[in-house]
Amino acid sequence: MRIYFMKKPLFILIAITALSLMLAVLYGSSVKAEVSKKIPGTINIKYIQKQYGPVVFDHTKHAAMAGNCGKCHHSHNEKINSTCKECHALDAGVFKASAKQAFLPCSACHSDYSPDSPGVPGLKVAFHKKCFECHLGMGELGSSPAGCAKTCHVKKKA
Amino acid sequence: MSVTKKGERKQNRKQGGRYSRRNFLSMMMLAGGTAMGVHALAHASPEFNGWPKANGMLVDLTACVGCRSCEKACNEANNMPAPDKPFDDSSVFKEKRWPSAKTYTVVNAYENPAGSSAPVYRKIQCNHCLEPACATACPMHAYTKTPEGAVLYNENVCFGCRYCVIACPFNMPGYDYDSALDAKVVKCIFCHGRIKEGKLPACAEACPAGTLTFGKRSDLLKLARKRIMNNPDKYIDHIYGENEVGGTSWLYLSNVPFKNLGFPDNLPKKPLIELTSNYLSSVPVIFTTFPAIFGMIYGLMRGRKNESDSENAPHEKEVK
Repeated sequence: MRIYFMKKPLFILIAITALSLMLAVLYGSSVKAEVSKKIPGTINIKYIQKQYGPVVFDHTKHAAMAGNCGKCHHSHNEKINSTCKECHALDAGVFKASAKQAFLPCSACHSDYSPDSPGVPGLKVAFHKKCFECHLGMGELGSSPAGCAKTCHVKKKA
Repeated sequence: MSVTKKGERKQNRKQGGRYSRRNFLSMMMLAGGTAMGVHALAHASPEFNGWPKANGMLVDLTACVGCRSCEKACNEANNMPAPDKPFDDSSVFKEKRWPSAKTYTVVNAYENPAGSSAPVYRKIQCNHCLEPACATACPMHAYTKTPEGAVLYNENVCFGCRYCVIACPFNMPGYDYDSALDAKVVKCIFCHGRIKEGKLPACAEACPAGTLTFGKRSDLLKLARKRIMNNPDKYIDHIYGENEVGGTSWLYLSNVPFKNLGFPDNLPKKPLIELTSNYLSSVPVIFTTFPAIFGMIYGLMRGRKNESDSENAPHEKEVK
């Protein structure tokens, strides 16, 4: 309640300091993401597993084959069927970090699907869409439902 | 009948009494005017473009990989009986299946004319029309189009006339003939309960390929148009369900003609109810005005007959 009795200029000064502190923290986190330019190597994609076991994904191998991280990750250089507005309208800060070639994990923007923004697929769809770009047609993928477990996924033990 | 009474009636008629020509004509005009008025009302019924903020589903058939996850999720979410063949069995694609008492939805495989080895898959379920023909055909109001988007069926009031089965342009309401005594329509309910809880329909939640996008129908139309605009070579420039039979909650995008995938391609753009509403709205008018009109004609004719009877053969009645 003491703020109430404070003089106005002092209050404004404190507010500005707090705001700038918050901004600095936010900026720092985005810079941290920017710095991690190293390819993550083999990862276990396990955020959304339900029916199947986690998918083991060799980042290095895939990056070498694609030749460009932008093939899968959004970036300013590689527009993947997106207009500027599409991403910038979502969260300019997050996108700014990815634009500086520090590719963020897919989950930074794609999480649970929300019907409020039908243009942004959920994490599961975002993953699968990228996989299908190359893997569709390999083995039984695309011709049989059994292909899912045979090609990429390991069926979870019941 | 005494002579005096007859005389009174004759007198009445001459003075322009109950059945005078003037009265008759004015009554006729009134009846005709009412009939025309009701008819005009039926014509003036405003165009219904669906409930505002109603949900829909955009089905991008180009994305479907035929994993049958939607079938599985639907089965589990709606506590349907176990399928004859497991959900990862691809042998079901050999035949064209149809939703039945055991399943709200099926995925069928169609030949891909684009030369691709992978077939084109089509998910089939109730399309949840904006103005459902099943609901208008049902004499018991067993069908409800909810503001959320689903067309729901109430088996408690259904008495099994099967008008809905005939009325549906998509052949969706199928009768559960497995139970002779407790027969009912089995069709997709657009996961109404889940939607009300804020969840996604089970099929949309399960779809990994991005084929099924759940959202507000108006948003989905924009999204569909954008996809066509961004990939004009990929998609056919047609959002199936945008205008078909007045619009459906489920919308489809495809890279092969919808006709090839078994979609009916001869549907009118207006809701089917408009084919019958003009006729049906005249039924109450006919039932109320025609008895009056013909009653009056009958009254007049009978009066005239009595009149001529009394003039030609006055003695026959007086014998009594």
